[in-house]
Amino acid sequence: MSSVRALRLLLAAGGLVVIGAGASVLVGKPLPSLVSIAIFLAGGVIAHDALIAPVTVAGGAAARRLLPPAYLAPLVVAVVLVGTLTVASIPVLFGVNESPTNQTLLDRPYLLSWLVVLAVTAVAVVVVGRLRSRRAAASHR
Amino acid sequence: MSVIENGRGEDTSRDVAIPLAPREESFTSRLRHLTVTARVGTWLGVAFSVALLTGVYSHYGQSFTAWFPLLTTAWIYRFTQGLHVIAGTAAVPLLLVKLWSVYPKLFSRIPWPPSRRLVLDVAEKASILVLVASAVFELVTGLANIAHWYPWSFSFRSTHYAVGLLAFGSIVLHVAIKMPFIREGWAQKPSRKIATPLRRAGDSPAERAPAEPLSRRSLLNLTWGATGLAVLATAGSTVPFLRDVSLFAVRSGDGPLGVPINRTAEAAGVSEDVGDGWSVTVRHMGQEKTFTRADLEAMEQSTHDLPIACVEGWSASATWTGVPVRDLLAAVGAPAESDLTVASAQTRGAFGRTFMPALFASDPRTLLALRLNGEELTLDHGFPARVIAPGRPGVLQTKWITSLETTA
Repeated sequence: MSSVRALRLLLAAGGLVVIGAGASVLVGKPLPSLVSIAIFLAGGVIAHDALIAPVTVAGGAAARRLLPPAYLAPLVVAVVLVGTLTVASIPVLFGVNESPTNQTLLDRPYLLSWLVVLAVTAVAVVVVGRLRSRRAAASHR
Repeated sequence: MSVIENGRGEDTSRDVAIPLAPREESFTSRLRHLTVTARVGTWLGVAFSVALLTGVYSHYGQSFTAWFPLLTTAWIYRFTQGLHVIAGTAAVPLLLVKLWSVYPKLFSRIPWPPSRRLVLDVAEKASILVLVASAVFELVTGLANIAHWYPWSFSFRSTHYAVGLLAFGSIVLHVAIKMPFIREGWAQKPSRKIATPLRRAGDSPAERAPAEPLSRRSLLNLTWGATGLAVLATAGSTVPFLRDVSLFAVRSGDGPLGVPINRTAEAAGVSEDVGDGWSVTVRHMGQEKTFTRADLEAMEQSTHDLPIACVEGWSASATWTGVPVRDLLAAVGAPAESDLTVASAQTRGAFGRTFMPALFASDPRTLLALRLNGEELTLDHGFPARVIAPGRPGVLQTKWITSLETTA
């Protein structure tokens, strides 16, 4: 048996043991907790596979049809950066603060910051896209 | 891969596409490539490994018994928990790009008729389902928890731990399954060229693919950039010099006396007049001594700079003044190396009674603190007196102390 094959078998076995350890903690939980856990486990998969991913693919296809090619690269950069920031900030932007009397928690103007980031990014995409189209046009002359 | 052949050597297996779904071949982006998937996937694995190690350290550090030695290094818990939340935040763009790069495989054809290939295919898809479900679960619950948003009805700590094991275990299994592809992906250099349409386009979707907006190398750089941005935008909760750039951190790092608060007196069910007639009782084997705040103030005071660090990833350095716990133990004839039960006046929450191992009780820096940054403690910081020990989880830095008792 090659050493790579041995390593793969070892990793696979180790992975299964760790999965089993996690599952054994979960099965001891009361039914209402398990239902809630199942909803969150399935919900994450559905949110990605049936929402985030198809919307990204469809958005990309739409952008290709509607926008001049020079705008595509800055748009991709903007979507990846702002999309990351938005997804990671969902709790502070749209969540419910369950410790509302704690003045030291969620003590920043998140929505304002996010709107400013969106606006600045949108302007940047337009400016960079225009510069790129002009450069492309000039090089064709 | 086995192919069922008929007598004429033709493939008669009829792998079937999933009805009503796109085909794997319908996705044409040439940015989806092994060189991208292998690199982003590897760093995603690193992020989850860091989160698992730091998470396990905290999980057992909070329980009564740890199977590994705890440390009294003052910065250790600040470091592990800051890293835990930073790794989880960094994993957000890594997971999104990783999943994007392999999304078409969700629609791969199902091996048919049933064969060993079908069984392996289903088993592998099941392991990936566990991976995606648990990985997304960990990031979603972790990010919601640090913002004190609990839209679920399970215990966060034990569930986040258990599903963390599912995520890490299925990642390790996935690495084992995909190792040849991972090695191949790393062996090739990601292309710096921007893919253009084929000159002689045919009929298949791939042959008619339009130009790509950027190269694979650029997509990778963009992913690292997004990872850095996510960290910079949030890490100010624990990295002081990032405070001013972390616009999306759950805490600015400010608070009364310059230190944030995790659980307020109101949330802990501690009344505003907890200080009236307050005293702390120290017990050891039938011996008992009660100290009022004036008694404590009359004792020799120690001052130490110790960070307070929360499991939620925020931390702050502060200067604490009070009576070393070991001096209080000595007052009732208890050895400094005593395991302690610490009781608080708090009536709500899981940490009204906590355990302090002798390792911490005997440390001269472990204080029954009366003052914070030169001022008297505020009610939300644990007035009249709180425990502060080096390198312990914030939930065990018990506030509003009413008694310290040695355990037999």
